[in-house]
Amino acid sequence: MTARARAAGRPEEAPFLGVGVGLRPVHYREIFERADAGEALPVDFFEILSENFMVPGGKPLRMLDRACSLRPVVLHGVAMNIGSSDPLDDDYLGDLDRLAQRTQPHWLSDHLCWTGVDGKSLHDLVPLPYSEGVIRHVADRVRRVQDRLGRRIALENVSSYMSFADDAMPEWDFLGEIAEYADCGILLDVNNVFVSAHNHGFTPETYIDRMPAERVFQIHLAGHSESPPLLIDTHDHPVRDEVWQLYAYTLERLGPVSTSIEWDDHIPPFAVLLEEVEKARKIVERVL
Amino acid sequence: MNTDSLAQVQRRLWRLIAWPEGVRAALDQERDGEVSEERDGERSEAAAPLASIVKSDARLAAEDRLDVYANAYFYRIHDVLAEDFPSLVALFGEDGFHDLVTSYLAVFPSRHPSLRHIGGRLAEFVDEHPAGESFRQRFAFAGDLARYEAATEDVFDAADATPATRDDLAAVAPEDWAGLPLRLVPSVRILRLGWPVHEVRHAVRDGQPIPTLGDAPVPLALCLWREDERVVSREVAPDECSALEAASRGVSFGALCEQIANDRGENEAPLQAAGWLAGWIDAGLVLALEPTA
Ligand SMILES: [Fe+2]
Repeated sequence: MTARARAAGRPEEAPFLGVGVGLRPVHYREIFERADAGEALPVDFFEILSENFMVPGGKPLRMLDRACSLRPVVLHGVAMNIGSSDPLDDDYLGDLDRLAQRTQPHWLSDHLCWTGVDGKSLHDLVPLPYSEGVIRHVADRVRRVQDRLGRRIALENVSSYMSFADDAMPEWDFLGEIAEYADCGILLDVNNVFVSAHNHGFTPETYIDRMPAERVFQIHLAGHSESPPLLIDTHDHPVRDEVWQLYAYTLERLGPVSTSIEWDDHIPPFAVLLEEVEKARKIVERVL
Repeated sequence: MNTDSLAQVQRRLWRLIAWPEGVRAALDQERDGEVSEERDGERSEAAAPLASIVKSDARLAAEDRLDVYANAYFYRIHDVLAEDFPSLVALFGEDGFHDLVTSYLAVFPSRHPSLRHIGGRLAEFVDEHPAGESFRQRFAFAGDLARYEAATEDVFDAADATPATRDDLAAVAPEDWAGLPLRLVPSVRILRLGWPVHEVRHAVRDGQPIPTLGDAPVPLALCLWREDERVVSREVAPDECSALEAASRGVSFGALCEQIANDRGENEAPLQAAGWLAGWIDAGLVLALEPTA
């Protein structure tokens, strides 16, 4: 670990859990068969997609309980709509709270974006205008969510394909200031930094340099695809070499941070996902 | 930027992204002034040029950047609906289903944070909405099929519950029978349909040709529930269906007998009710019996 990383405080409620994966239903069988056979399951934690388990019962919840019995978990949502001008959705937060009671995650995260307005959802992570007013708006909502859930949450930087004409600051300042005002954590998606840097023409390392180490709860790694002139965050490929390099750069600066691999489309067999886990582990070991 | 101006920007982007014919068509529409009648009677200001809101650059215009979101919006929902309604996909074909999703979303955009509920009004759209007319004209049973597939999704992750057993039934004292409250497990769905659409779903699942169902409805009832983790269904006769519906409302065994007596007479009713109840218990449809104190 570099001296700088060692000096950087790590958030107390986000200890280093190791390298994990996003839990996906296509892998249930492989995961639980390995567990039943007493075989190694070289995954340190599972990241649970919250909305997939906000259901009354049945197989999803049984699988969830099983996964929770095997490894520590963190919850990751896509529908908090934290950046919307709509009121916060109490029902949603109630469901999230119940899920947290059930799964006892180390932490919960969602995205710094908006997903809908006037009660109508786009089911997509749409970026926000980077302005002081929006910082106050979002930070205030994060505080209310944290009060409701009785814990700090982490906000993730999204991949974006558009930005606003009157953005008053770069994205890293927008994210950093919200985290500061709201006193929340950050889920740093290194692939998203890479994708957005390409799409908007900034240097990804600058983004990483500006992240407050004491707020970074977790790192995401994923694959993206090319749709010239843009890169698109499709989660349907292995992590690209350039993103592995940026990840190594990130860990040199931050020290070991719990890292999970996201793969959501053209999902490969679990063994392929484990190869990605192994790659991440090798990089983590260099800074341990 | 304050919350009001943020709301304005988000409303405009929502509309451009969700517009059925794409971002450019939505912008044309704005220019033609046809959007001036915004919701709540609030007139939208003469729309500012998109480039004054969304950044354009040498590589890509603002419209094209928004198009990425428009495509993602449509296909994300399309793919979830295609997974939830595989028989509708088979019935209408890929292109027809694409049109169905487009028309449906224009009328019933998602109003829930989770995609789990995204198809909740598809049957209503196909059966009743003016914009659904061409779809019901093509297949009169399409609405029923949508209802059946939506119910299947619902049953799959309905709440868990412990069903009653025959032993529970045997333990009920004779004097408690009349007041015995009936309740069904939460996964039970009773559908009154005009066509045997479950045969369509089964054919699609098994890779068989889709059976031809006539244009004229022939009423039937299906009961769906979850057995272990599978969704199962069976056809129920009209009188048993009425009895099941009564049980799902939580009537007492005595009230159920009275209902049956109207059709079958006083003498036959208790026997018929007990027979059905035993069948429901064997199928795991009945919630644990709790005699009233
Ligand atoms: Fe991510």
